[in-house]
Amino acid sequence: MGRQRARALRSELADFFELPKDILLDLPRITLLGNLRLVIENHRGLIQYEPVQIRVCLEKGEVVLQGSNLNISLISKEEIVIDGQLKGVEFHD
Amino acid sequence: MLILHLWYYLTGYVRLRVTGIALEKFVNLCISRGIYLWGIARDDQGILLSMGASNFRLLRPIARSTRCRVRILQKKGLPFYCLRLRGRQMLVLGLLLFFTTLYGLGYFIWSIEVSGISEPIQTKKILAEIYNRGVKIGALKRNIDLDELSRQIILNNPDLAWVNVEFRGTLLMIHLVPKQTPPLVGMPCHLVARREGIVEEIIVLVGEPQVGKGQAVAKGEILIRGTLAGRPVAAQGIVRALIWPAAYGRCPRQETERRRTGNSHQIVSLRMGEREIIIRGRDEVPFPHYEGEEEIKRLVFWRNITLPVETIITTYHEVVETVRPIPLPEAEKRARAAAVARIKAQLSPEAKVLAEEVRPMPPGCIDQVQVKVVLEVLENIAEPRGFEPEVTDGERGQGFEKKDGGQTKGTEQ
Repeated sequence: MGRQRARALRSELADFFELPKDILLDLPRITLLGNLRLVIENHRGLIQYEPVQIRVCLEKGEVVLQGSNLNISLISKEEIVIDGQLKGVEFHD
Repeated sequence: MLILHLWYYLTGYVRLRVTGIALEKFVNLCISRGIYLWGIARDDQGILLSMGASNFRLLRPIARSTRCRVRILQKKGLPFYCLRLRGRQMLVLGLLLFFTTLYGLGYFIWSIEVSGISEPIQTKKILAEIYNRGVKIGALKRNIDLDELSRQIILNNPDLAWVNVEFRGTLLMIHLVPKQTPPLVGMPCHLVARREGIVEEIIVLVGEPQVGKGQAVAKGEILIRGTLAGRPVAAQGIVRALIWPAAYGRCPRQETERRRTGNSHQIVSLRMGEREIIIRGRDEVPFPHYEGEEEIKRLVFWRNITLPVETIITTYHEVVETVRPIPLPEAEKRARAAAVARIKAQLSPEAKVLAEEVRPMPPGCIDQVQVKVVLEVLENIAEPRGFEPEVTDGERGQGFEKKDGGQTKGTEQ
């Protein structure tokens, strides 16, 4: 419960001071380049990698990418770059 | 990201195939150890990925814990390339030798080009001159002082106005501009008759007139003497005279007209030195009358060095010849025009044609028309002729060289 409250406080703090939420709240920053490329910053690793589906672990939950010919162009601790034909991006808890 | 890839190219990287069940876990462990991965793709056996070569030794515990098998597919980057070259030292040596030779050969002159003069004799003379000064093919470029060289050329050849010497790589370019020598004025000369005629008008500017209006003069006769009060001067003036130049003109009574039918025959052949090999097309031309067109293609090897192999494309166009008779008035007209053109080629542009007489002549052969045309022309017939001041008149001057068209050009003795 304490963690939940701290999180809510930080969200309010970010709103109040107009600070970027992705830094304060550890949110992933996801950038889409059309349907060809997707960049996730601040991820927590791969869960599943198939050419048609990639699941990436986030701080809270996971993101599921649907598509075809999906390749991971590069992966490092900070970011992951996915290229291919993207069809869908879903968030799961 | 480019800088990172460049870094991995310089330090070397490996392309791996990882097979197993927990491949995602393998990737996650890699990145948590700080291993940068790129180019991850799935294939039917597992995943392919690239990583820096120095990180490869970190993989062993990861692979063991995730029970994955790692196989190296390719080793890429500069260190691996150099490693491969180490086994082929002669190749490296050859490469090095090639570039040093190329660089070394750039220190020499390999060709000399002289431009600006049309006469090959003078070009040869200048080449011989600079050869004696050590400027020749194979000479070291640094030993040649270009300023000094151009100064020497211009000193040795007074008929040159300007010389530019420069290097274009291994080519020594010598550009020459010859002096435009003006016609000599002021040298004592007479004005003499260029051809015989009857003097119609005489205007003396400098000198003493020797002839009067209506007087017949012979070729070479002095018209205006180049003396003034006993002193030699350059005679100047205009002497217009009536002259009667004549010429013959011929015209055949029939002409053959050649017209292309549109049919053509092409032969492609290859010439190597003396030998000629036909590549395409039959050797004999299937037409009774034809016109040939030859197109020669050379392979330019380097600069103006061509390979001694030429491709020759010869196209033969079929023609039909039709013989057309020319009516007599038409033939006479053409013969006359030819004669007049022949006369006018010898006259100066300001000559005035006063009358024309056309006389039919017996032709040399049957199907021909011949005419003789005589023109009455008023033209300036005065022509300067130099003379030695000591020598009395009538003697031919030595210091002048005659050129066609009545102009004189001086040369040094």
